[in-house]
Amino acid sequence: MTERRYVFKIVVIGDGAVGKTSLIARFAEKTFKAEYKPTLGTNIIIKELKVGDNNIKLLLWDIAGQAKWRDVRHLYYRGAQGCIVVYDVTRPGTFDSVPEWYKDLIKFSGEVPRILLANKIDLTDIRKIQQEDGLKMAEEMNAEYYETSAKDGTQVNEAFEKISELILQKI
Amino acid sequence: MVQNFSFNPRDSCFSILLIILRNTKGLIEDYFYYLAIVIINSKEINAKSKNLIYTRSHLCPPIIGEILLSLSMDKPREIRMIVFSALLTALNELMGRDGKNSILRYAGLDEYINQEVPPSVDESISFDIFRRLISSMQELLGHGTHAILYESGRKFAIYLTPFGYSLQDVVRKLANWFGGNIIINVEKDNEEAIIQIKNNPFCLVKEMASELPSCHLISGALAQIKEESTGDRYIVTEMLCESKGDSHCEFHIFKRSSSEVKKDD
Repeated sequence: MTERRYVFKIVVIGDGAVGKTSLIARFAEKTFKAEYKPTLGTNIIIKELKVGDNNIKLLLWDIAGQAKWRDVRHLYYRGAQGCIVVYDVTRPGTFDSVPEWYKDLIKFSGEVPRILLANKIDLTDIRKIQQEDGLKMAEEMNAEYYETSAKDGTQVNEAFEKISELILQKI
Repeated sequence: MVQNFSFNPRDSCFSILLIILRNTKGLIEDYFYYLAIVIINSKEINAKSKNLIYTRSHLCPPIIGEILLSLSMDKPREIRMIVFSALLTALNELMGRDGKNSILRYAGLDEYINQEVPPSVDESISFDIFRRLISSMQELLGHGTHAILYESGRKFAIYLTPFGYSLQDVVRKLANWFGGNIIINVEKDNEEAIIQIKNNPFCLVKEMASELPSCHLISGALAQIKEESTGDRYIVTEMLCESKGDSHCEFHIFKRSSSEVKKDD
């Protein structure tokens, strides 16, 4: 079978400090930094991936969660073929914001494949949002659901590979 | 005037050089071009010989005039720092520091990451650097959308000419800042305008042959320039593009009706 090459733009969204940058760093560079440095605007990371016979170049748009970027954020969504919405299982506010992020996604990117990530599951002692809540939210968003830890790498690769597969299926 | 020149060996050397120039391409052409400039500017050459070259370039298009025209078909060799600086500032505003740095990193221009670029009109930067930046923007920002490049162009225009110059003035400035190698023609300039750019430095002709016009950055910039100078709202559509094999890029600028503007607002 012939190898095919694709370029996919994936936006990674969610409130500030939920771990978007760390998840991308874990997936793309296999690294983790504990200190928090807010993303200013958007950070674009490139990662090559092979799914079956397909060579995929992922343009991962790590979009700033802070409110100050709200006015230009809609531009970052344009042309996205997939999306990962992230929340922090230790901060209920970040989970409550998920519908807002989802609304923006549909408005500016349309009905693209999406995944809901419940991040920081390594912090078991202070976890506030349980799996059933996350699954329910994912169902409402018509999204796949993964529980991840950027710190120890749990399910991170699987989530990014899954979104790539979902986009491939849609082509 | 030409008939007043008396033949001498030095003049004939120039003629041979000019013929070589006329018939060479690519790197060899560049080499001889610079060699010719060096010779022309050399103190060894007397004023009469310089006159010969300049006069022939004026009076005899088949000789040096044509050569210079053919050389001008190349992209510029360098651009003014003010253009580069305006582009980086626009990116910084629209994409944030991290977005701008992502684009610089992808372009292999790490030396400009977190570094202030002086908006000097006197200093220049190599065209290759500018090209790498444009190419990187196109690849990272242009995937599946035109919106970010168009908006980047608008911001770029604001930083490039912040005082609302007319379209004609900005076009003149641009031609100057790009070293005069680009040819910009303003067909008309009222409620509608047509801008033609030959050797468009923003157009990725060879790198990204395209089926559709692809100069969204310059489209946004032209819209902004027109709006700044008139106070009305405009939309720019690129009709011809060097990237799809047209002889030049051509932009049509239309004034937007008040109902269109109201709908958008």
